[in-house]
Amino acid sequence: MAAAALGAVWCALRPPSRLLGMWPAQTRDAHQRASLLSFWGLVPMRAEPLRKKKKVDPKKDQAAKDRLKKRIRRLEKASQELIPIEDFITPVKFLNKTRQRPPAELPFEESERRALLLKKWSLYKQREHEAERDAVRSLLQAQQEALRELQLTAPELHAEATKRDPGLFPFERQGPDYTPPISNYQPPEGRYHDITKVYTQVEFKR
Amino acid sequence: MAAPIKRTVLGVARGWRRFEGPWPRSLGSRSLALAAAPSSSGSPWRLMGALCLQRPPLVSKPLTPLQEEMAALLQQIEIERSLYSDHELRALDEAQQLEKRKSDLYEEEDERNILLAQDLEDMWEQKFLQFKPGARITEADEKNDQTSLHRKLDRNLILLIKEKLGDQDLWMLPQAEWQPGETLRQTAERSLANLSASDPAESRSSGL
Repeated sequence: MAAAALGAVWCALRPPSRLLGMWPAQTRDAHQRASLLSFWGLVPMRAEPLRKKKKVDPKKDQAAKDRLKKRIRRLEKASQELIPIEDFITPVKFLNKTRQRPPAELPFEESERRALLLKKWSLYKQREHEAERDAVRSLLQAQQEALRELQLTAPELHAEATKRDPGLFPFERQGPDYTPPISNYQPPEGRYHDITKVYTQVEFKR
Repeated sequence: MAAPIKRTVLGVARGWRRFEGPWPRSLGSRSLALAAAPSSSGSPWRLMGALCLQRPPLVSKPLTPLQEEMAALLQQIEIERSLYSDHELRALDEAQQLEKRKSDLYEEEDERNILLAQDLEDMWEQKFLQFKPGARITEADEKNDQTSLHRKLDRNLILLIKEKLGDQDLWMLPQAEWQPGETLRQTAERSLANLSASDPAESRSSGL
């Protein structure tokens, strides 16, 4: 009897492929059925039909995202302040009138002396500028003459001499100070406390 | 042709004056000296590469009297056109208070130990006098020692070498004969290496 029932179950199970696909699902709820072999237990009778996805939903989502982005963009534009140039802003404490000096009244001799000195100075600077210009010009002329002589003597050396020197730039040099550096100088001990204001400007890229 | 060559040599040696370096010395440019001694290879010229080694100035030149006057005038004008600083305002206030106290003849019971602006200035003056800056005119200047680098700090110094040229002893730029296969720059660097007293790492070369 049991063998015949098993045979009937086997025949019921064998042909349809969809029932074969449902085989693992059926074995899952085996503990809920009265017996393993009941037919009605094998066929799933309690499922819902599959829900259809609404076609309008993706568009609504996209519209919502666009609105949010627009709001973000507006906020960012409003907050894009320019970094203030602190040199151009007069601190308020210097607008105080008590700070102003009384205008200096110069005697006649003093103003005359100043005017004469300024005239002498402008003449001196003009001569200095002309001397510098002449010096640079003579240097360049000497250089050009030497290169011409080199070209006549040894053209390949001239070609080498007129090549660019990659190590020449960036050119850095410490200028002359008022006093020479002291050997074995001990600078005073201490720490720097840097209080410069650092501004950051957020760049919003579209 | 001998006279124009000599002029060229001197002009060229005068002309190359480019300098650099945080280093005490800097290698300037090469100058081309054409010696008129004929060599056996057929070309009438012997090429020598010379080296212009410079010690750039460490200190600025002293000001001329006109420059001093102008500097003083500019300083005066700057003070006249400026506003009072905090320190100056404080000094003025304290001066006013002192005047008031003297005129009121009000005797203080206990002398307040306030640090006046004047006291601060005195302290700063003392501190400044204690600092000894480096000397602008060095010992080597006073002894006229021409072999040291630490002399004439406001001028540009160029290295010269005494060499025999024919019968004469001449002070010349250090030269080396050019060898085929090298550039004039390499000749100059070779002559730098040949100078026994120099340390090539100290100099910085610029190819001018």
